[in-house]
Amino acid sequence: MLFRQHDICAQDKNETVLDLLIRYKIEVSYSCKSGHCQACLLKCIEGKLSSQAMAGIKETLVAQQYFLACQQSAIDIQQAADVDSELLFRRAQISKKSLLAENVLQLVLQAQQNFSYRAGQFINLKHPLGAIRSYSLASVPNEDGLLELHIKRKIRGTMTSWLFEHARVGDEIDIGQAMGNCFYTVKDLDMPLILIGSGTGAAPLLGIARDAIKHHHQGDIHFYHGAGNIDGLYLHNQLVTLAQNQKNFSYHPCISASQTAPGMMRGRCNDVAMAELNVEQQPRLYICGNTQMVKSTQTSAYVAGVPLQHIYTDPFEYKDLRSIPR
Amino acid sequence: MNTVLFERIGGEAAVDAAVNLFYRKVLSDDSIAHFFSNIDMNDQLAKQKSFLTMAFGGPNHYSGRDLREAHAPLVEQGLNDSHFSAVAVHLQTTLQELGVDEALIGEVMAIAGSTHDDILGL
Ligand SMILES: Cc1cc2nc3c(=O)[nH]c(=O)nc-3n(C[C@H](O)[C@H](O)[C@H](O)COP(=O)(O)OP(=O)(O)OC[C@H]3O[C@@H](n4cnc5c(N)ncnc54)[C@H](O)[C@@H]3O)c2cc1C
Ligand code: HEM
Ligand code: FES
Repeated sequence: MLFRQHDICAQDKNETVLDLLIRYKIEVSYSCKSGHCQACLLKCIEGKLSSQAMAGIKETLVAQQYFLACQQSAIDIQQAADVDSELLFRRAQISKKSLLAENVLQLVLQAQQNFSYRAGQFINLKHPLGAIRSYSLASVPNEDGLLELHIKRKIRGTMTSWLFEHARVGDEIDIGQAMGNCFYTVKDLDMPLILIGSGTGAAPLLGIARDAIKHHHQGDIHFYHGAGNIDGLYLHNQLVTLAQNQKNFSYHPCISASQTAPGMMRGRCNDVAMAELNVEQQPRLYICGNTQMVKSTQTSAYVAGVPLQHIYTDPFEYKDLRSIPR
Repeated sequence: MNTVLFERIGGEAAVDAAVNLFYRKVLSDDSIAHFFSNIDMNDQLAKQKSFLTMAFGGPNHYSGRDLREAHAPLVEQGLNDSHFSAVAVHLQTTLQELGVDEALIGEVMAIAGSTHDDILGL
């Protein structure tokens, strides 16, 4: 396969374009390695693309032979090239930066006025040195063009360290278009919404809850937020207030550590939510955050009788990038 | 391809009726559920439909070699006779619960059984 000035060769038919490039230590951006984040987009000059490698990519980009390097076997590609970054990213400005909890940053970006998205979708941010990472939107589409993100600090994480320690209000940052299909749709207004999120999985759920309320959703809205300890329930006051003011909204704070506090449930948010699930009421589920939690909850909800098309998920997939993972 | 069986059993509508019932049984069975845990559920549901279409004698594009290839990684993870039987039992009870005629169920089970060696890579 030809790429930049390299001529490299796949090990076997299972090696993906991304793995091949990594094996040759060629600098390319990627994050989830599971076809989710589109950080690994490349352009195919010559070769045969699989449908998997084009899944979820915007049609206009598919037409230009853009593909996901982590989902395409390298053996079928003779030549690939970098993508045109101007096409994928636009400038935004950091307009607010504050801590919601010790390890959770609220980042508000001023996007261009015509930036369009659905509440609960995610965007990619580009680090000044090129790394690309995905973050979910906690805001609802608004005329002010402000985008709210909740960012959990990761030990020596490339993007999170920069955002926590170096990025300043007023700085410019490249952001991609909104992606993902875990968002609120204005239909089935009478059905209950069950929102389940661990850690910053609460970010897209907050967007979805706000959007549902804005569109006068009639069914009950249950927000299950889970964390290891009280500090991790970083939206506590905001959600308590929302529950007081909004008749059909209820907040279920869940703590998995052994000590708990008055009014909080003991256990993981997904276990608590599943125990209270009533399939007869035809709930719509939104499950966001830790990948393991999201997948296992999706499975148990489905097995309990919820149709798959009523379960929306946003797994925060990322690879541990150290050479020796934990 | 045995279109006659496929039509007698109810065609695509029968596949649609059976797929969720069948897949829920598979995922609830701890002895085999782990084979399905790393795969996107929506993709998987589409594959379960392929599985049922095939077992019902419907139009499909799988050769024995395709089945061998699709299941080879599972064989590496220890897929064996007991797992095969477990899937067969879930298929059978699904059809019984849907009230499919016993004779037709017999034909379906024969088709599933004929794939045994390819599935287990024998
Ligand atoms: C669709 C989607 C939506 C997402 N939404 C959100 C969101 O709303 N909020 C959010 O906070 N995150 C979200 N994520 C996760 C986010 O994209 C990043 O993966 C995450 O913030 C880590 O990025 P990073 O560059 O800081 O870490 P990376 O540099 O990518 O490191 C990845 C992991 O490796 C560990 N690591 C790397 N190097 C070392 C080292 N030397 N020592 C110890 N540990 C190390 C890090 O601690 C981290 O856990 C989302 C992911 C996806 C795919
Ligand atoms: C009874 C005979 C069986 C038949 C006819 C059959 C048929 C199929 C078919 C047609 C596919 C789709 C392949 C594709 O499109 O990629 C498939 C995939 C799969 N089957 Fe089977 N199967 C059988 C038994 C089993 C058993 C016993 C297990 C494990 C307990 C199993 C686990 C899987 C899994 C996990 C996949 C998905 C593989 C992937 O996505 O990589 N199957 N099967
Ligand atoms: S989509 Fe390929 S790395 Fe995320």
